Amino acid sequence: MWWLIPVGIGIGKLVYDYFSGQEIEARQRWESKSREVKKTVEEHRRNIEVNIQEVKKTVEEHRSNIEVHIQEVRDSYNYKLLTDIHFSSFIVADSAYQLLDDARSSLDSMVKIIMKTKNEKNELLIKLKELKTKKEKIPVLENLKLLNEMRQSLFDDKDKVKQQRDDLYNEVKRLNQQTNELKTFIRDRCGTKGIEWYDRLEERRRKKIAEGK
Amino acid sequence: MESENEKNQPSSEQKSSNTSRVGKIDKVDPAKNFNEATGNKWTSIFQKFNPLGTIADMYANTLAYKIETKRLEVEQKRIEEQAKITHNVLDKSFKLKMEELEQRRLALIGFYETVNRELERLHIERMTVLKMAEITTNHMLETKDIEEKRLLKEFATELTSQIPKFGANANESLKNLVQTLPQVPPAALIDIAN
Repeated sequence: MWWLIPVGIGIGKLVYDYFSGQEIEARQRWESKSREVKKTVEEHRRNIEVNIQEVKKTVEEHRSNIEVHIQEVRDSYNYKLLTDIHFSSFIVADSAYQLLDDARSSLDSMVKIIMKTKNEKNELLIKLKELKTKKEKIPVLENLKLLNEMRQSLFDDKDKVKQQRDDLYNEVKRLNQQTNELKTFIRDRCGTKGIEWYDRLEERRRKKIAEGK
Repeated sequence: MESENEKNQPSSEQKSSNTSRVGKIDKVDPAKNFNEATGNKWTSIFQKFNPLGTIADMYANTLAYKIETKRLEVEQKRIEEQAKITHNVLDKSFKLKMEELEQRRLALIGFYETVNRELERLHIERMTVLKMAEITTNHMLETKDIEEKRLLKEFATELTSQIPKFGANANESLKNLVQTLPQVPPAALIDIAN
């Protein structure tokens, strides 16, 4: 029966080899699978990071596009609003200038009338000195009285017109200054459109000056 | 539980402020927050059912990452849609404001034309009256008859007294024109986006 011992050991060795081979194989499979899964997880993690970066980039791009859009809309609106106001300011300043011109013409005409009455008055005064009798003097004196009354009235009206002319001159000056301020405001606040508009206006102004208008 | 819900749920104020701020892209959650957001449920479930602990964790992570990728894709789409809406709102507001300006401009042009016609009429009348005053004065100075002279003087005085009145009327019209002009810089300058 002693021979059973080596047989038993041999069988035991075979069983051990069989199971240890199975274990090694299983471990290798497990390790390979583990590496594979680790790699997949790593890939997914990297993909997520890339995706987050992409989403952040998209957000940034959209934010920047929206900001540009807002700026464009703001510039366009301000440009339209300010050029409309500039146009209105120009029209009003032009009307004020025409009124100033009228006031100046009126004043010139009134001064002309006053000068005529003054000449007439001087002639009458010379004539009065030459006359001897009271009878001769009476019509001249009446004439002088009429002229003085008229001149007084003319002076009163002339003063009123002169005041109007001075007020209009100040108003025209103020309106022109306002129109000019608007012009530079448009240049500085309305982006490229504003700068181009300002340059066009300046070019037109230079041309007018060169043509002597 | 209730307080926790209150914490997670946005308040009505927050909701209204969110809706009013169209186009505001708030944030993008990073991937590390995902498991925390789900209370680490996925990891623990996989750990319980799978005896191969580490691999189970990895599978759970893979799944979490896949879900996160999907969420990011949806988030990206949402951002793009929100941006489109914002651009659209800006365009619509811009068109509306420009239409308002156009209507204002047309109304002002009509007003200027009316006032300028009135000023033109006053100018013609003033010049005519001045001419008449000059002619009357000349006649008055030429005539010898004292009565005629007196009449002509009265007439000339009456005519010249009209000149400042024309000026006053014209100034009144000019005041109306000036009132249509805003201060510089105009207060109406925008903020269209707000």
